[in-house]
Amino acid sequence: MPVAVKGLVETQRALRKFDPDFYKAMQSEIRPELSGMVREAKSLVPKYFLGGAMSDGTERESRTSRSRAFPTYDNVQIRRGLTYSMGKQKRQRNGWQSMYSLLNKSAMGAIVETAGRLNPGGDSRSQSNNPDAGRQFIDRANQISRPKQVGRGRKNQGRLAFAAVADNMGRAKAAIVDAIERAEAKYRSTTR
Amino acid sequence: MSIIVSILSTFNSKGLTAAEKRTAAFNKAVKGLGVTMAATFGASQITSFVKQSIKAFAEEDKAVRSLGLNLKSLGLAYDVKPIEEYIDKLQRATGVADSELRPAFQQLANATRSLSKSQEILGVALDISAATGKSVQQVTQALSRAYLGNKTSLGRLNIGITKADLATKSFDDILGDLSKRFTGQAAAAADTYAGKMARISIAADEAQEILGGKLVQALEMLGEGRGGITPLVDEMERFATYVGNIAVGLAQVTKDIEGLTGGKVKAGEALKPSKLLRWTSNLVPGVKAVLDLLQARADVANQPDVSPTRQLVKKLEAEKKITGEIKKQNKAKTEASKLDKAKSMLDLEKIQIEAALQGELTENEKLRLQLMKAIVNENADRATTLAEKLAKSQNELASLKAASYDFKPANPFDGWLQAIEAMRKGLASIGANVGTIPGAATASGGMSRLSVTPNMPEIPIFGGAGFITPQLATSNPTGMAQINITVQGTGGLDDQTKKAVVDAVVEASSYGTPTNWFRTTGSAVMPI
Repeated sequence: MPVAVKGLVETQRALRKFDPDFYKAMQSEIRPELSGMVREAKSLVPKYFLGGAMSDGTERESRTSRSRAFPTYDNVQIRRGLTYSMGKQKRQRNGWQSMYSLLNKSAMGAIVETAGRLNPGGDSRSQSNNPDAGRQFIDRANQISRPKQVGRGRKNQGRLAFAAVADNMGRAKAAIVDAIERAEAKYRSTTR
Repeated sequence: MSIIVSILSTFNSKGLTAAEKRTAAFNKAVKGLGVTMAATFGASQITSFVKQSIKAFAEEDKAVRSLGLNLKSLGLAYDVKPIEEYIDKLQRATGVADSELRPAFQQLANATRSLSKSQEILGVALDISAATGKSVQQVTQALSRAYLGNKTSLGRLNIGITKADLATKSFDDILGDLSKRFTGQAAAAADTYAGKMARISIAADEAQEILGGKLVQALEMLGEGRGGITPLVDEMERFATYVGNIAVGLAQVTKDIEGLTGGKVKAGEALKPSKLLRWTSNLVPGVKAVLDLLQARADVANQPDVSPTRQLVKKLEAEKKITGEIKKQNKAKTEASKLDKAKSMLDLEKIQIEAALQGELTENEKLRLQLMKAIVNENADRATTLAEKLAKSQNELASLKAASYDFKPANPFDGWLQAIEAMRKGLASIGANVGTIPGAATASGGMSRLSVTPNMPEIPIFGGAGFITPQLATSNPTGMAQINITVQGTGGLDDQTKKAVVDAVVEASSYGTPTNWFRTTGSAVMPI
């Protein structure tokens, strides 16, 4: 489950202002934890997925009502899209804002990550010529990794980034929180 | 769109707070209208409504008079009526009550002393208020302060004015920017549902004020022919007193009748008119006594309670209340100090001290900065320690300074004389004639003068004999510098004179003149 640290923004702001070197040190302590999870997520991306979905190096044209064609599977591109962020994300409507996060940026990566969350047997509104395309895609994706849960709700589960966070959460979370707390304690001791 | 897996989140209440404020404002408007409607149309609330109407009228009247007086004092007496009309129209157009607009306008008029400028600023303030959810009073206060040169509060409104803008731009420029940015916000807000409700609420308030005004007018009419409203008010007060006394009297009659009948007649029964009449008629001789008794009881009832126990209880209650207030104040103070401490973490002064401490400093300067930091942090122990250290350091510095003033190095040329003396002795030891000075002449009378080349500086000689001034030796055929010294008495030259002679010889020699010295009379060589 994502951890909320009270006053994190203020701590970061204060550190950046008064002790930029220590802020950098704190970020460099956190960075390996995040990159470790990214490595873990990348390792879950197989080279081969499904015959029809594989990329042949050319960009496909859409043959449906959608303007953009269904993306092709390119493991290099998916791996490239798996990364981390140490900056603030956009604030959610409920007021929560992510400070440290893992990202899955590529289109195909996002599909592999989330396919079947809403319709485990495929979407009935599919415009594919193959009526079983959705189910086949999800089955293949499940072979790679079963969706893993991070926190509560349907939207907090996935096969790549979510799976990596779910597997690694305990260690990374503790290390990040520890780094921040140490930074905060040092900052307080210097300003006392 | 990328998938984001959040690992660490923080709660950002920005936006939510604004939404809450807007909702609260809407609720307030609805509630206000509801209260006004209920108060207006509720049958049981008619009396209360009348009172409130008079009160609302009185408040409005007071505000209008206050603004009028204020404008008069600013030399704008002729504009009072148009301003009232302007405020009235503005409140109907924007849904902001005149009770808010009037003080805002008054504040601006005081600051600008110009009606047109005040109207312009008030328009912008209403737009900003509608856009940001801040109160008109808050925005107006910031703008009027900014107009007078204090732009800090304008920056605190968080309406996108940077510190650079505040520092560099004039008030008119800033106002122009704000006007462009927020134009039409007040009109748009007035057009929303909440705005419409507020306008209806204002109309209801206005109606109440008008009604209050008319009621006061009616009372004034009643007072006409009786010397105005003051006698009427007095009469009303007297009437209330009589009514109150009748109530107390009736209660007392009831009790006294019980007492007089020995409890045969109960209080409730005694209140029945027939019984009252019967008993009263039976007690005609005692009516006066009863009335006296009533008066006495009424006086007792009106007297303040003097029971010592009750007084003590009251006193204790008052003390308890005071203690509670003190506790509350102390708690507030503690919280305020905690907040101050938290604020001090981002204090500008502190930042400057930290920045200064990063630089290359002397030990004394470092101590001063650390002391400043301790004072800012309100760390008394550390401040005391550092103050002691600083005092010690300053003492050391002062003593070092004093030592440097006292330091007087020895004359480096003193060694020269010793060297020359050594040379002379050396020359004398090998038989050279160094005991006499060529051309030395004897003069009578005390110490004479040293005669040297014209360019030679004056050499003062202090000794037993007096002062020697260099003088050109005119009688010396060889052109040598000639120094004539006459020694009085049998004693030799004193040490200082000897030194002066040696100096004169050396000086003359240094100017390129062949120099020697000898004795013209007597036989002994002067021991120098």
